[in-house]
Amino acid sequence: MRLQREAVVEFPTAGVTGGLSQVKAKAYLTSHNDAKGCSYSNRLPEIKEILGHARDGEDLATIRTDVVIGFSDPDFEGCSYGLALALADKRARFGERGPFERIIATGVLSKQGIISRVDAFPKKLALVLETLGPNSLFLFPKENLDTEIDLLEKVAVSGGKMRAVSQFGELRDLWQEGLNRSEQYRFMTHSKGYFIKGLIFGFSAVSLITGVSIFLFRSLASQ
Amino acid sequence: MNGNKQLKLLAALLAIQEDALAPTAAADACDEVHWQEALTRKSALRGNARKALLHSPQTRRQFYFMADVTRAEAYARWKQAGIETALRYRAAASPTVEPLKIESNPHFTLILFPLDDEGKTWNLYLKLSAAFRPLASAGIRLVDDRGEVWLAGQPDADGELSSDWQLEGSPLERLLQHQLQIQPG
Repeated sequence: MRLQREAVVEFPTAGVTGGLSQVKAKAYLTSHNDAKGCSYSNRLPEIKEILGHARDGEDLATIRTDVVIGFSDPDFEGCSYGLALALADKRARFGERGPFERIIATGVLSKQGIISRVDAFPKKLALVLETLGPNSLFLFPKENLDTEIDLLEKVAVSGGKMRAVSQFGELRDLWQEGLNRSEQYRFMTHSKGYFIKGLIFGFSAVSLITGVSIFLFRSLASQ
Repeated sequence: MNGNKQLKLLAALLAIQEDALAPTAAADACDEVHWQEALTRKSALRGNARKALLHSPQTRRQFYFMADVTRAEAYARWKQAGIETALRYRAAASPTVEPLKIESNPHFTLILFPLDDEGKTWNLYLKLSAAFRPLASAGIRLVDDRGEVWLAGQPDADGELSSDWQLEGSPLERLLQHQLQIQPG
C-alpha cells in the first residue's frame, strides 16, 4: 500500500511578477491527525479555510488524512489559487483520475464549493494560452465565461481542454473519490438486496432442478 | 532576491549602522505602549514606529530590550499555569521515511512530515493544546538546546503552526542529540 501520494496543479498569477505557479499537495495516507502543514506558516489559516470548503461533506476518515501544502513561489496575492489548491488536495488524498498530464486551474473557492469569478482573467488566460498543450486541462470559473471569448477560442484551438465550472463537485471525475459513509450505506443495502434476491433465486432454481430430477427418477423407476 | 535573503541583508546592514550616523531619539511612553501592543500581536507596527526602528540603533536596542521583557513575562505566565515546555524524544530513528509524531508533552504535539523519499526535506507541524493556546497567542518558538530555531510564529485560531525545515541536516538526527523546547516568540 502506498504511504504517501502527491499531486500538482498549476495556477496563473497576475501582477508584476505574474506567471504560472504550482501548488503541490502531499498526502500521508496512513497518518490521520487532521494535520494540514504548509511550507509557509503565514498562508496556513487561508489554506485551512479553502480546504474546509473543498472537503465539505466528506467522510471523517478521509478528512483526517494529513496533508502538507507547498507552492513553487509563495509570493502571490489573492485567493484565485483556491480551485488549484482544492483539486491538488483531492487528487493527493484520493488518487489522480483522467487522461491529463497537466492541469491549470483558476477560481475562488468559497462555502458550499462555489467557484467564483477571478480578477485579471484576460492576463491569466493569456498566460495559460502561452503554455497550454495537448493533454492539458484548463479549469476556470463559469462566471468568467462571458468575458474574453476570443482568447478562450484561442485556448480551445491550442489543443488543450478547458472546462468552465461553477461548483467544485462538478470536477469529481478528476480524482478517485471513494464512497462516503452514506453512499457506502446505500451501496451496502443495495448490494445486500441483490445478494438476498440472488440467494432466493439460486435456492429456488436448485430446488426446482432437484424436484424435477426426483420426479423423473421416480417416473422412470416406476416404469 | 527572495524575501529571506532581503531580510538577512537588511539585518546585516542594520547591525553595522552606527549611532553617530543615525538620528537618535529615545522612545517615549507612547512608543512603548505601541511597541508592547505590536510585541503581543495586538496591533501591527505603525509606519513611523517602523521608520524609527530602521533609522536609530538606540531605538532598536530599546525595542529589543522590551521584546526580551515581554518574552520573559510570557514565560513566567506559562510556568505559573504549570506548562511544561520541554519536548522529549528518545526513540531510535526509523529507517523508513514516514511521518514522525511526538506527543510526549500534553500541551503540544509535533509532527515531522517527510517531503521526499530520501528524507532530505521535511515539514514541521505543531499543534498546541486548547489550554495552552490563549497563553501562546502572541507567538512561540520551537528551539533545540543549541538555541537553533526550528519553528517560529503566531499559532492560528486552532493553535497550529507549520513551516518547512530550514536548518542543516535531518531533524531526525537532531532529535536524537538535542532536546526541544517551546519558548515565547
